[in-house]
This record gives sequence, C-alpha cells and structure tokens, in this order.
Amino acid sequence: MNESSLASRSAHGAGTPRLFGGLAGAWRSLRFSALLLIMIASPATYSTENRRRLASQICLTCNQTVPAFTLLSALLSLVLVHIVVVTAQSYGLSQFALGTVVRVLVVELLPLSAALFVALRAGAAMNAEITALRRTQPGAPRRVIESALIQRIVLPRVAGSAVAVVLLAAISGGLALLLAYLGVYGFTPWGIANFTRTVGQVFEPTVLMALGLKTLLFAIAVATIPASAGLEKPRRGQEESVAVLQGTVRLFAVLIVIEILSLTAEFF
Amino acid sequence: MTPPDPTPENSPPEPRVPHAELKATALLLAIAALICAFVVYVMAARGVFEETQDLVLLADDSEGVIPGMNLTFSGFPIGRVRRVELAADGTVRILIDVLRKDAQWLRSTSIFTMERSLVGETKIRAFSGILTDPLLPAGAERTVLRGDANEQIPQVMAAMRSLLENLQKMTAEDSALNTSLGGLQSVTERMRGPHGALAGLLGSEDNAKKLVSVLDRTNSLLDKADKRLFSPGGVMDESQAAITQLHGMLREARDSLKKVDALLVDAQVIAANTKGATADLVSLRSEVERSLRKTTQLIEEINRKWPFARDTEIKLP
Repeated sequence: MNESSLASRSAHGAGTPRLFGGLAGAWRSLRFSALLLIMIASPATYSTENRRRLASQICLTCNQTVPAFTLLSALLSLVLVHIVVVTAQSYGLSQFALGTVVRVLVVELLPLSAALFVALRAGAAMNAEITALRRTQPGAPRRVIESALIQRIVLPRVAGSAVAVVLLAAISGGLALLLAYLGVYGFTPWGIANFTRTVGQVFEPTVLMALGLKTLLFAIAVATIPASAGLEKPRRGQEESVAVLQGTVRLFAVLIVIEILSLTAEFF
Repeated sequence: MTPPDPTPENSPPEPRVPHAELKATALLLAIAALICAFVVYVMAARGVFEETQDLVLLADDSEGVIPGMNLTFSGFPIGRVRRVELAADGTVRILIDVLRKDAQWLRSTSIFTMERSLVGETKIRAFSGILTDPLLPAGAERTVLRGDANEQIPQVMAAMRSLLENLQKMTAEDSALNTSLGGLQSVTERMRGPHGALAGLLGSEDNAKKLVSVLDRTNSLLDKADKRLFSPGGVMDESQAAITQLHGMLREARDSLKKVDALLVDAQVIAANTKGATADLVSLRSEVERSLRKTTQLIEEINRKWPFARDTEIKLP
C-alpha cells in the first residue's frame, strides 16, 4: 500500500466533525511516516539514481540549515548561559548554573529548536516544490503523480530533513557545551574536571536515552509530516496551501507532544 | 486522454551537488562520530572507565540522597553515590564508588557527614583529621553523621515564639519597660528645666537649688582653707619647719645608733672572752669533782677501818 491509496481514502464529507477529521489526518500521517521509513530501510530505494538524489538532498538540506542554525544557536546559547550564570551568581547559587545551562540548553531547547528550524526551512520548501509540481501537471491522475513525487522528491527530502535535524541537534549541543564551559569557567583548562563531572551528573542514562529518542522522533516527525500534508488530497473547496498549513500545525502539535513525553520520562 | 508524463523533464530541475554521495557519506560518518564521541564522553564523565572501591555509609534517612551525587573531600569530589537501599534493620545503606586514586584521602578514622540545607542539594562530605592513619579498606561501612538545617526549624520557631511572647510582654501597657520609659520621660522632662540634668537626677528644682547652694558654700570653705593652709605663716609653713627639725633629730639619732653599734661590738668581744672562761671553768670543775671523789673514797676507807668501823649487822629480836 502506498500513499496514493491512502490519500484516495481521505475524502472527507462536508459534515465530518473536525475532531474526527484531525484524528484521521493524524492517522494518515502516521501510516505515511511508517511507509516512508519502510521505503528508506528497503534496499530497492538505493538504486544508483536514487542514491545520488538522496545524497544531493542530504547535502543541500544540511547546507541550507547548518550555517544559519549554528549561528543562531550559538547566539541563543551565549545569551542564555550569561543570563543563567549571572542570575545564579546573584543568588549565591553559582554551583547550579552549569547543570542548569546544560540541562536546559542541550537536553531541552536545542533539539526542539533544531526540529522547528528544519521544519520551517526544509519542510516549507518541500511543500512548495510539491505544490509547484502539481500545478505543472494539473490533468494528471493523482496516483501517478504521487508515485513520482515520492520517488523523486519526497523520499530524498525526507532523508535530508531527518539527517539535518540530527546534525543540527548534535552541532548545537556541542557548541552549547563549549559556550557553557567558557561562560562559567572562562578561557582556562582547570575547570574541565568539574565540567565533566557536572555533565556526567546531568546526563543520567534516562536523560541520555530520552535525548536520543526525542531527537530521533523529532527527525522522523519533521521529515514525514510535512510530506504527508503536502501529498494529502485537499478538501473540497480548500486551497492546497491550506492543507500544507494544516500539516505544519500538525507537525508543531506532534513536536510538542514528543517534548512533553520526553519531559515526563525524564522528570517523573 | 493520455496522462501527462511525470518524468523529470516535466518537473522542476533537480539541484546537482558535485560528489554528493561522498559528501553525504562523510556527513553521516561525522554525525555518527559526533554522537559516539558524546556518548563516550558522558560515560567517562559518569566514571564508567574509572577504577573505584566500595564504601557503604549507614544513615537513618535517605531523603535528598540520589544516585550520582558526589562525595566530597575538602570540596573536591572523590566519589559518587551508586545506589541507595534499605537494609533489613531499617537503616539506609548508601553505596558509594570512591575513585581508587582518591581513596588515599579516606582513612580509618575519617568522619562522614550528610548535610541538608534549605536551598540546594544534600551534600555528603568526608573529613580525615589524621592522614597518617591506616587507609580505609574497600567495602568499609561507616555511619554517616547528619546535619539537617530543616530539623532545626521547629526549635527556631519555638525560640521565636517565646521571643515574640517576651516582646509582647515588654511592650504591653503595664509592662516594666513601659513604666521605665515613662519614668525616663519624666526625667528627661525635668532635665529640660533651668537646672538641666541636675534637676532630673535629684528629682526637683528645689533639690537642685539646695545642691547648688551647697556647692557655693563648699567653694567658699575651700577658699578659706586655702588661705589658712597655704598663706605665708600658714599651717603648711609651720609643718615644713617641723619637718626640718625632725630631720635634725633623726640625724642625731643616727649618730647615737652608731655609738650603740660600737658598744655592741665590744659586748660581743666580752661575750667571747666569757665563753673561753666558761670552758676553763668546766675543766676546773671536773678536777674539783675528781678530788672530791677521791676524798670521799678516802673517808669511806677510814670508816671501814677500826675503831671507826660500825657494826652494820642487823640482828633480829
């Protein structure tokens, strides 16, 4: 079963309650995400041509997102580290500043920021390309067009977005650790032992697993939900851009749910 | 109707990246290396690769103790709590991994404390007073001393309550402090009068006036005494002349004493002579006694001879 058959079942009656419509959309996104994951894991996907497309999209997506996000995350980390360190010092709690910074930035904020950044940057571009392709072929049967889309456009972009989320989270996390060290200890090597110990205390096995799982789920959601929304058949009288917007909203909701689940796993 | 061809020539041109596969492979490898390096770093930070020895601390309450917290010595972390468990006798066993390289700071006489403050986490500390004592053996069990700031809150509250009660008593209408303050107020009011603090101290203006008049009279008396004592021909001059005379008399007395000293020296010589004469008298006396003894023997000898012999036999009737 491919997405075209899934999308063909997605006709909504005018009187369908909105809640059921939303749940049906979420279910379609879930099945489409599973389909994409299976396709990515399938060796048949990695033909010579597809491999080239995948590699190109991975490079392009990372190239589009890494420089800007690295700069922004460094700025955000610098500001947050300074605020937390100064505030902790003013209350005489400077021994907790480093742990707080590492926990807030590396574990919570930066993976979510990376996912949102890739969703806005690469997800929106992917949706725009799908819409443009549909307009160039207005008379084509949907199933035929979607098959071509999945093969040529969606799958490489899904892989590129997923890799970009993981890469951004890793780079920004490392950069935040470096900036946190410099913010707390300054340019001296004598704080490395304490810093390492604090990092070890923050990254308990549960937290480490939650961080890895959360980043992976972020990557999957950011890669697949916009594609699923872009391929959905618009409702009667609905513009395709509205469907894309709904996909973005759905993505944000899913990201928030993943974040809440992660926090629950870490702290409860 | 023929469907449109969904081939690349009808779609937007795909971007071309030179050496895309190589770059993508390098990127994926870099991500994997980054993640692996981070995981290894966290494992090292959590002490997975360090050699440790066990230490068991026994406590009666595990509140605030969590796995991963530090055991510090002089502020430096030397160990980490691995597990907290409840023993069969109800005590809390805190299992700590002490770094082998830092185990030298723990001695058999080391003391372990667990401190809980109002703000911040619980701290477990080690104190080693005598670093020449034997090393703490691996797996040793020690009782941890607890210092809990929260436990002192009820005592502080009780003290605070009694303090407030005392304060309330002190500030009541009929309290001693209020009465004292009232008295102080009346005193200060009196002190604002013409005689100032004197009237406040003595109780009324009349008493202050009396004291002032006494002082005036004392002053005049002192003036008179001054004239009597220190004026020419006064008591002081006479006393000075008397003292001069006394000096002369003392000088004469000193001369007399010197003469007495000479007399005493002579008397000492006489006494020495008398002592020698006394020694001669002793030998003379012994000679006289010897002559008397001989005389007595002679008389007794004559008495035993006839006709001076007496019948000394006693005859019974």
